[in-house]
Amino acid sequence: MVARPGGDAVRPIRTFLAFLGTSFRKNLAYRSEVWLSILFGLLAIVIQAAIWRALLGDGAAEGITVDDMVTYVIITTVISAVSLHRLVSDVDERLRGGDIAVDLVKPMHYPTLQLADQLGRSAFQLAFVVVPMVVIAALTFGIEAPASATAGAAFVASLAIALLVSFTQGLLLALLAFWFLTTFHFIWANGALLTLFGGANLPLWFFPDALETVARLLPYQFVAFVPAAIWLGEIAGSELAWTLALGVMWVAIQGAAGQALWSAAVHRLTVQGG
Amino acid sequence: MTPALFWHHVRLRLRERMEYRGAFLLGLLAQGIGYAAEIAVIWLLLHRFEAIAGWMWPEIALLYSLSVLTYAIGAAFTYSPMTELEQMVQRGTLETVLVKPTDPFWTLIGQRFNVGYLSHLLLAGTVMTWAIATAPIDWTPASVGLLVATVASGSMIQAAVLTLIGTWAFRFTRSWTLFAINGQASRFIRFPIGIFGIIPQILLTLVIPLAFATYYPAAILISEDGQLFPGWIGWLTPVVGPVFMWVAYRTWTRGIDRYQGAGG
Repeated sequence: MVARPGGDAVRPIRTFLAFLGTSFRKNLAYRSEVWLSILFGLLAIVIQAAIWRALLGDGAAEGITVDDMVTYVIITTVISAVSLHRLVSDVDERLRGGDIAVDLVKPMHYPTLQLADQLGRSAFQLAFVVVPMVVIAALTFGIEAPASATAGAAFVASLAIALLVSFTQGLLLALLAFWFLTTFHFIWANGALLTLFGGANLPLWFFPDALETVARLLPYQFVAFVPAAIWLGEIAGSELAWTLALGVMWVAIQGAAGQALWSAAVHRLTVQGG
Repeated sequence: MTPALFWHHVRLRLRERMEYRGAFLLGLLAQGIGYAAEIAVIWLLLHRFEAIAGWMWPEIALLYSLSVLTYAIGAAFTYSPMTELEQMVQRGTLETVLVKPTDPFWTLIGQRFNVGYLSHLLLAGTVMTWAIATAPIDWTPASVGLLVATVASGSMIQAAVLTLIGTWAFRFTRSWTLFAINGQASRFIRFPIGIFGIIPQILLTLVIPLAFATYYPAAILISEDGQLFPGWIGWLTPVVGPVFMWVAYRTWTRGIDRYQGAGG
């Protein structure tokens, strides 16, 4: 590449996008199986929608109707399809197989490289799984539009937060593998917290008060409940601003912890490698 | 594959896992926490709404515990053989099973019996004990017999589903998405089947009869009326499991026979 003024500032972004594109193309190899992933998502939506129909009927609870819950369920299913938790198993596998050495040679900060890799996978999921899944779900069950223009814009922001919260969480779990050489237990334990406090199966507004207070402080709500609640206009006004700020804070905390752990992990890996 | 040989394999597996005792026990703990979270969510749901289609928390807990219990027993036998089949084909280790004088299906199941489902059993067993003590069940010799038969037959249904997925994956595709879909489908049978449409009811009764592992027998135990299908079909539970397992076994064996032919 010909060096030019200002080129250095652009190059990291280009490298990042190049890795992202490579990951997207790598995932294209599995496109014959996307219908299974679509089926997986649709089953989740069918089950949840049926449960809420049985529970709410034509009425409402806390002002929430069946149609609201169907939209809620579609959105949380979409988010779980594109969230970036999956890097845990990728890193775990590469660490045990020794492929991690190849990754470290690549001209990029390793966690950032992982982010590009995961975003490439998400882009693939979005194009080949999420879009057809949402179209089918919307035609079958109906989906509500965002409550307002503000809700729509805030939803996009909350989606970015969802991606970053799930990524930094996955990174922390993955880095633990450098010490424990396994991530199985951490994945299950973290998954349990996500099941309970994420709100995908039971929105936080149906929680008992004490538990809701706890859930509203934890990072898990950002990977399911928050984006859907924002879309529906259930989180609005000053609460919206506070919620998004809390999300950004969790990204910063988990990101900083991930970076610190990464520095220690690299040192450790060098020692092991001898 | 005699019972004695099978038991020998299971003991070997247990000893193998106990080499890494800490990791094994931690794994059980982690899985236990995972399922506890699932139960907590359903409990919170019932805590807020009291009933789903007339089924209260003890009755839903019965469905849930039957689902996890039968899955754990069935999966202990067939999950590892079926998920590892792909890798065995790639590495050429499947041949070591095929050259043995015993039936390859039972050899694989014996060799790869998974002892890691203890936390499932413990958790589901506890929830079920509480559920059957609390739910309005009329205890007669017939209902006791039905419950025992449901655990046995339901486990066979679950084992058979995993076997069929393994056969499918063996021939066509990578299997993890299919196993994930099965996990998703298991959630259907944790709720009263009437809340789902006609198609899921037909599929779960006639095609993949998972509803016989939980809903149909449970509906008889708590004297619930029939839905799309009449309530009495729950009494077919003891037959459905063995028949479906036999179908799965035949299908798998045919798939393996074809593999031998291609290996030539």
